[in-house]
Amino acid sequence: MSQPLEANSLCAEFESLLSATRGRVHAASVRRRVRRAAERGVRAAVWVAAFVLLLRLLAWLLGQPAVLGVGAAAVLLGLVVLVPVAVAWVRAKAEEPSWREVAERLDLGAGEHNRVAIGLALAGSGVATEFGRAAIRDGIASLRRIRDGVPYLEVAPTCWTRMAGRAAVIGFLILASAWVGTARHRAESAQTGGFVAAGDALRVPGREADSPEAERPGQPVRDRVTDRGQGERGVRAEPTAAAPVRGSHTPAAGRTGGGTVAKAATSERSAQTGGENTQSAATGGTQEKESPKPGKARPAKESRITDRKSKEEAGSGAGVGRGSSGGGSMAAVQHGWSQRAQTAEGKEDEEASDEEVEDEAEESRQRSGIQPSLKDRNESPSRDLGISGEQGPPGTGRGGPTPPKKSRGTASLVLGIPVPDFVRGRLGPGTTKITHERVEPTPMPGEPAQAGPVRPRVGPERPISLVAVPPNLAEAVRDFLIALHSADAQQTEESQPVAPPEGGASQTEESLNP
Amino acid sequence: MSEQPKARPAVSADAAAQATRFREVFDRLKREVHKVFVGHDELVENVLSVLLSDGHVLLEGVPGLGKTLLARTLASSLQLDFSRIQFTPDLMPADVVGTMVLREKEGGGHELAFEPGPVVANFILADEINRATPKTQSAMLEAMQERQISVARRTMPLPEPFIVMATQNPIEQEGTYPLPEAQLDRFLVKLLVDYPEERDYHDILLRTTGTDLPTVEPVSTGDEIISMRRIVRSVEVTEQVRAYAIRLVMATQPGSPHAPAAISRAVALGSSPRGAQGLMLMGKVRALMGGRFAVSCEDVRAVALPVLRHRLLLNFEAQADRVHPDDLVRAAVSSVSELSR
Repeated sequence: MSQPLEANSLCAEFESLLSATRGRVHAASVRRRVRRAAERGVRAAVWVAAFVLLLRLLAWLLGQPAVLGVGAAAVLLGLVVLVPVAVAWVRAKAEEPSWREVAERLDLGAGEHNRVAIGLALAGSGVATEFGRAAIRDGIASLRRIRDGVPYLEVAPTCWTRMAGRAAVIGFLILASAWVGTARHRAESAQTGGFVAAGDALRVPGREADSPEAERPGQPVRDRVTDRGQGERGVRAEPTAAAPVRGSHTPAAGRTGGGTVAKAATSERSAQTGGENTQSAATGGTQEKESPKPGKARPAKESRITDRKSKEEAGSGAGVGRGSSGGGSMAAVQHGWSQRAQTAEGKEDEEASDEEVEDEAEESRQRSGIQPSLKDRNESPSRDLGISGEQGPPGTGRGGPTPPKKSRGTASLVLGIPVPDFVRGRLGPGTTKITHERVEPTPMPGEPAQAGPVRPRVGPERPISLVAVPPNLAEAVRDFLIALHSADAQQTEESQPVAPPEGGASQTEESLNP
Repeated sequence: MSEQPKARPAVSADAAAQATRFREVFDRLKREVHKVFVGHDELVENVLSVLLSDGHVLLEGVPGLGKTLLARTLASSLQLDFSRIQFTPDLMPADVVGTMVLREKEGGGHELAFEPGPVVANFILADEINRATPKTQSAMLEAMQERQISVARRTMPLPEPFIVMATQNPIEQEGTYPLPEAQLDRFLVKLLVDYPEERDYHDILLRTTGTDLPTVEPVSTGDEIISMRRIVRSVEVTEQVRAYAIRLVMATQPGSPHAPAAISRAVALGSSPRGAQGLMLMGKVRALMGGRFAVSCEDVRAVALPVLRHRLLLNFEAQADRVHPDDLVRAAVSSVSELSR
């Protein structure tokens, strides 16, 4: 039976007993929340460090300056960890734990079967049964017993091993980022040394190319690139003409020795367009594409032809022995076919192929009419034997893939050539139908056979001679045989006890008397 | 140390007396059962807890471990109407609940009369329950949940107290029919009977192979069992513990926000609200046996395995990986915090 309680006094008693514990629980709560925030921050810092390393790697590979330095990355990582910790600390300090939380955490630390929390909850309800009252008293007694003696225990202790592992990962990522920057600096230094050794006339394009971009951030990238190529044009014209230093000039647009030949070739191409085309080149390729003029298209094509010739020269081995002639750190390099194939896949070749398409279209228009282009060719019908595929769109006229032939007359006559054979329909005639017919047995009429003793053989057991009887003796032989058989028949009749059937002569007589 | 409350008693006198009486009855029954059934203290305590919390128990174990002996011994220690149903494949529902038979009247003529089946008793031992077909197993559904049986147009309440102790063999698959989920859910706990300890073998051999076989005397009655059940239901449950039990049950349901990854990966069907009821009732008995007057989260955790293990329906992947439901219940217990949100 539920009865009202002195809820206020009981709750006040609980609170007075829990007041000392509340501060400890609050401090522990602050520690716990700060620890969780630190764990989350370290976890996020791992990802941030990995992202920084990725950015630096990308910048290194693309030849761009690094977006974030190592120092800035370290500061960022520190912020990623410290800001959540600070926020958690401030918020935890501001939020004091409720009496219920204090009681629950005290129970959890003491292993008291929730006695304190149960007592506090039942006391706060205002009404309790006998068991409820007993539980409240039990909770107060338990609280008096444990409030000073039992230290507060953390729910989940800090996993220092995991934290240390994450810190190690962050350190490794930072070191890797720093190494990426160092490696890039070394590569640039080596590249610079190679150019200096190639001749005093050559300048370091990498460093010089970066600085104008930094000075003119508002200018479009393409214009900047064009300006850079224009600026280098006068410098690169000399090594283009001088064959021995061509190898050292080839990687000028890139960072490595042999990886970016295409850029170098583009630079050469721009340089070979001549002085009269310098102004148009400076305006950028965009204008050239948007407003194709007859006066501009021809020199561009000539420059491409020259470029192709130069590529053919390079591929034919004319460039053997090219490279550094000044004894620099870069050795002479002969580019093989594979390297040339890699360089041919560059962006500039794509642009060149686009320009070729535009040129062909322009030529078609100049020939007063659209002519069929070779690029519009479609795949010829397949003549291979095979299983039929999807049918092409009907009424498309010539061209277009057609389904492979199913069979060929000649091939079907030659043994050993597999010809697909298709038979529509089912393989068998269908299910077998079995009809059972019930037939009543009917008796057949017949005479009963007469039984008789087996007669022994009469006569000599010798082969019958088939000696031909002459006609004049035939009558004599016939009479003799009749007489002989008649004598045998009489003897048989005398020895047989059974009478012959009625009305019938003996077989012998019938045979003897036809 | 602070001052001790000497002026007033630590607990209410009535509540303490009831709790003491409860423990006495519990211990008395336990001692009587242990006269015959050797070892397995926890198993016996759980069976008695089910008896006193108004539930039904499913005993599972390999042959020869004393499942039927435990049920018969407990029935013998109680002055209750005992009935044993040996479940066989040809057992029919009418054989369990009873049927209408044609009888002769004294004054002449015939009448249809109800002939109650063996389920109409206080203590039912459903031996080898998984050998009967699901149709026959389903005959127990109404009896176990509603405490009544319906035959034709007649509904008949079952006597109180009513407890079903069922046994089944987990290894024999030939000729057995797994219990339907609805039937399993009606068992408050599923207890696994394991092999006895080495020291228990000595007692088993001494008691079963000698000349003086132990005898079991009835030490409690049906009325006493009913009064014990009232005491159990008087135990308090606070909101914190109730919320913990609810979160624990929800943690067994895949897709629930409280469910750990292992549950979502391996469980096709989680526990029903009957699981939470079982946690509360069994926790109350455990609190009383621990001398407390309210259920704690520790009590709920302690009874989670027997209450929840048979309510988890594993999916095909988990069955192929031989995932045990006990591991999943442990994962659910470890994933739920007892602190209030």
